[in-house]
Amino acid sequence: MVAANKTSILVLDDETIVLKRLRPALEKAGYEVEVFSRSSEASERITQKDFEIVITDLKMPGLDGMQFLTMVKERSPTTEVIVITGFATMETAKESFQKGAFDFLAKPFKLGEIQEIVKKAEAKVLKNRMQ
Amino acid sequence: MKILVAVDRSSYSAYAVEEAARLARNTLANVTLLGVLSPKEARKNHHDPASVAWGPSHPLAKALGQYRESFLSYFEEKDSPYLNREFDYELIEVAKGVWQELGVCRSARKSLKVRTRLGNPVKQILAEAEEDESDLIIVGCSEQKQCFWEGDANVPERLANGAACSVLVVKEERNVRKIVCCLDQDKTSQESLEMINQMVSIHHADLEVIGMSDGEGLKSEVERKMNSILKYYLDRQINPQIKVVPLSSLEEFISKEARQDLMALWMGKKSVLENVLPWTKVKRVIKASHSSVLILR
Repeated sequence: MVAANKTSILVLDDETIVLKRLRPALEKAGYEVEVFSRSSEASERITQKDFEIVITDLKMPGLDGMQFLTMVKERSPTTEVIVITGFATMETAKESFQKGAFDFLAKPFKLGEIQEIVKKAEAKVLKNRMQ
Repeated sequence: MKILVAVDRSSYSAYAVEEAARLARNTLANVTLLGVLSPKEARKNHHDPASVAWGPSHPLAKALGQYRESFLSYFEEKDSPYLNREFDYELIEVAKGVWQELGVCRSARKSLKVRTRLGNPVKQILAEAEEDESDLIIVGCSEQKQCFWEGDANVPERLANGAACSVLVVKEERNVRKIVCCLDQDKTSQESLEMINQMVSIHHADLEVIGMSDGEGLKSEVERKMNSILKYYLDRQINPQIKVVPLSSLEEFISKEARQDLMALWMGKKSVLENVLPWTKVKRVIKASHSSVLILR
């Protein structure tokens, strides 16, 4: 059974190796995690549930991460979105923040670095929840 | 991504800072600029041999300050992820059960740390990389065969050999048009592929992936691995050239390519490349190379 007060995180990356790495680490840190390797499935899921944090890759077949970020923020403006990418450019970083991303993280990264960002995003989510 | 830029006072360190800034501008990396003061240098011109003549007027401290400003100059103020903009007061637990209201600034998206450590340069740089969990160490090196690192001329090569993360040895030549990547066919880490992706993006460079053959062409296992690497890049709209080089002429090939292109070598502990290209030869490649060399882990 999932505890009701756990922060919910959706992770979207077409590279399953990234999902395999992130899921256990985030679950171990106490988050409720759902992972998707297809953006179409993740898009479907966010119509059913508002996640508190979304972690999304940018370059993916089909709907890309930028479009997914837009979709998430339109549906749920309080969801904090962390963009991860293996092909970082200044333009994509700027665009991500313009679209409301909480943070932008280039690959490769260690688990500690993304966990730190998730913690900050969670603090913001909790602060907003209390207001 | 966390980048550790190891610098000394030599002019090539400025190129390393420049390369780090270029990479950070795209990746918004957390960056540490690290200078290492050898104990001998620290006590120079000081009467008490036990004390350290370290302070803001020390030449290394001045150089670090200049590198910091040079790094920040790559970012427009409005876009800089390293600038602190909003100060606030926050209760921080300064000791167990003791809280203090401290002025904090949390608005910088990413961190730029400037640090100095005292001791052996290689040991201190590796310790910093380990403690900070760096993904990449960037270090400068002169184009001449002899590097002038203070205290130890072999610092770049020894870092490349000893680091657990990837190491980019930056030469003074900066225009990277092609990245020649000798990836290990047996075990290619996800991190190394991602590091190559970032390099290709930043330099808008062509990518050439080298497979190694034993003279009888690619064996099926090697071929399978090369195909999966090719597919990985094609899926990401990168069209790498694939080249097969006989193991017997690999050293010659690398030495030749390292004269003009960014040479990326996968040198993991279980790497095939490490077996066929002993470390002493890699050190020669780093020294002899006119362009930058990226050691991937």
